[in-house]
Amino acid sequence: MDTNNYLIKLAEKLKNGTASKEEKLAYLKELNKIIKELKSELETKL
Amino acid sequence: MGFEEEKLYPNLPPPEMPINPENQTETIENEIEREEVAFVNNLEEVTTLIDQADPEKFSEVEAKSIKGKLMLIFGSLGILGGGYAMKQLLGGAPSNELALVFGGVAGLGGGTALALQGLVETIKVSKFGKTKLGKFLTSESDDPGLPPPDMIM
Repeated sequence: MDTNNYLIKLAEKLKNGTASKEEKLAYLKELNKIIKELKSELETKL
Repeated sequence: MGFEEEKLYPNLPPPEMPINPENQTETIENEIEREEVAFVNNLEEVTTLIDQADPEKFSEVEAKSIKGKLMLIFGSLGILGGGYAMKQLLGGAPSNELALVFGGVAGLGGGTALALQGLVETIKVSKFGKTKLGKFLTSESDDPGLPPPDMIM
């Protein structure tokens, strides 16, 4: 499963209130990975 | 633990058993909180970087990629609604919650035109609305990389 599908699956569960704490944590970790990637992309252009 | 040690410490639980399930739950909650704090700090840094960046240095493809990621990040605020991130970034105003939830769907590319509008409206009312980042995200001329509204309805 690619990251986007994984995130969508977790997001749906979070939205429906059916996500476990472990799933919320996994979602946040993926999100922080994406933000860090974005930060690196932006830093290379400064 | 070796055979001799087992005999020395007979009351210790086997390593695969959690010593205290309550402590384990607390650890997950602490980890969630740490990730939420990191999320907000990272987002603040990204905002600063975008405000410093020269738009001329980005190709159209790079700009779309960045915008897509920002949509996902901002959209996720809805999914995490009511949590630390929302309180820090949007003040946790109840009137924003619905827009945030719709925004979350749009941010993840599985939404509708309404969802996308929800996200745009959310960013407009947030403290990011007046920054370059906010204008970049809410600009109508910039294709965010999502299908046109009539395709996703």
